[in-house]
This record gives sequence, structure tokens and C-alpha cells, in this order.
Amino acid sequence: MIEERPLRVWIDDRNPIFRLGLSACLEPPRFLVAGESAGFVPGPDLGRTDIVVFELDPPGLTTALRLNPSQENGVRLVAIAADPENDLLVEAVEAGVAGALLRAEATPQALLQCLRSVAAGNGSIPTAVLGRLLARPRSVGRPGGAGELTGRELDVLRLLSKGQNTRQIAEDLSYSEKTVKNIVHDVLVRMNCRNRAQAVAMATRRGFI
Amino acid sequence: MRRVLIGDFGMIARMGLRELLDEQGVEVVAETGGQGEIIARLSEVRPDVVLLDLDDPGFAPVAERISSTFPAVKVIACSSEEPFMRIFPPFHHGESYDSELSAALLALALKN
Repeated sequence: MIEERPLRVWIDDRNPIFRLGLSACLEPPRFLVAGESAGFVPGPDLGRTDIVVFELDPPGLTTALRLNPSQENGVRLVAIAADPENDLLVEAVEAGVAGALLRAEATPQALLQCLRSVAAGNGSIPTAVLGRLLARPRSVGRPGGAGELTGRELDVLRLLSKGQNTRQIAEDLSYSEKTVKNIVHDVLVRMNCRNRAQAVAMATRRGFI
Repeated sequence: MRRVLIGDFGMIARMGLRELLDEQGVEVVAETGGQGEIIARLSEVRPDVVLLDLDDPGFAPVAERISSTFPAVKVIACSSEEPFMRIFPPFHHGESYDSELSAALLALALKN
């Protein structure tokens, strides 16, 4: 039988009880706790971490994706989502998060199964979320979530990033102001952003625009 | 030594609580399933502290019932989602205060 090397798992969750519980699920020698954080404070020690399990919220996802999960031999990500209906989970999977668990359904067995699958190079996504992913129309775009934005949404984002207001964007693109407002609204919802500035910042950071 | 009864929590939160209580040298005298079972077990196991799941909407009437029927028992309702807990001190007629939830704060709340 092949000796399996230990997997070092970093646990990030703001709730201390849940975080301790996740750590307690990791049974040595196959699974080791690399470290723990709340809201990614402190940041994971990447040199000693194979998998990062993190609480899925917008800042958590942004930080997790900066850990470069797509790189070969890079750290692999497992998101724990509170709400399966949230688009953030779909965005996370499209951006390279390898595994996902729903908080309400998480059990020690489900966590370990997910970690094993992710370590083997496979994904592990709850069926409910998989259905939503497959049902989603994919447009042209780079991996990282831009695939969900349409051409005219990207145009509006680009003009927003130049500091233009609704009226100026409407003039530039020959849309009505109402149309521009609607497009901005759709962009904010889809990118899970609170305001225009956050959307522009996220789009820039991820290289959409 | 403090004697604690653990109410109905999710599996992972329950493991976390057990770890924490273990580290603090606190004795877990009972772990119950549904909220209804808690009252039934209280007179039998006589805990000092009852831990309830704040995320379960059913916790409030149980906390109230404990405060009125077993006024010497302290109730701590912990969320396993947000880092947040609600403490019902003994002999306070069901009054409560909210606190941030960290391992250290929960340990303090268990001991005082």
C-alpha cells in the first residue's frame, strides 16, 4: 500500500467554536493542522500549508484567491459557505476554489472526504451548487469570474474606473442614464459588491478591465 | 469544577465546544439532542452552566424557562456562525447581555 503523505490544512473562520471544531476533525497522521486564523489574520504560512479551508465571504474570497490557487504545486482552497443560494459560491468555484462545503451540512466525514478529494486533484462541490454552475450561461472571459460579465457591463466598468459618472457614461456609450444605472446595478449584484468603487477595485485586481 | 450541559449544536460546533471545554478542564455532564430534552435533563444532572445554540430560533424560550425554573444555572447561548454569544447570568430573572465570542471570553464566561 502506498504511504500517503500528511496534508497540512490551514483553517480560517471567524467563529472560534466552529474553527476549533474544524481543526478537531483533522485526524493525524493523514491530516495535520497547519494553523488557524480569523478573517485571514494571521495570514496562512504558505510554505507549510497544502490546503486552506476558509469562511466564504467577499473579503475572505479576495484574500484566498491572492494565495494563487491556480499555480501548480500551489495551495488548494476549500470554501465553507453559509448560503448555497449566494452567487459568491459560484464565483468562488469559477475562480479556482477546488472544494466547497455548506456550513449547515458540514460534518467531520464531509470535511475529510472533501479534503481527500481536493488533495487528489479533484474538485468537491455540493450537488446543489454544481447544478447552479452547470445551469449558468458562460460568456467569453478570463477565468476568475469575468466570464459572468457581458461586454457592455465591462464597458461600463472601464468608464467607471476612469472616474466617469452615470451621465458621462450614458453619453459615451449612447445609452440612457437609466440603462447605465441598471447595468451598474447588475454588475454590483453579480460581483457581490456594495458600491461602484468596490466593483472597480475588484475588476481591476482580477484583471477584468 | 464547573459542570456543563451542552445543548443541540451542529456536529462541527459540538466538536469545537468539546475541545474548548476539555482545554479548560470543564466537566461535560450531559449532551442533549433537541431543545425540549434540555429541561428534562436539568433536574437530573444539575449543571452549573447550560450551553445553547444561539442560531437555533428555539433557544430563547428554553433560556427563559431555565432562568425561571433553575435560577442558579447560567445560560450561555453561542452562535457557531457569527463570533457572538448571549449570556444569561444566574439569578437575573432571564436578563442577558451580548458579548463577542472568542475562546478566551467563553472560557471566562464558563468560569465566572
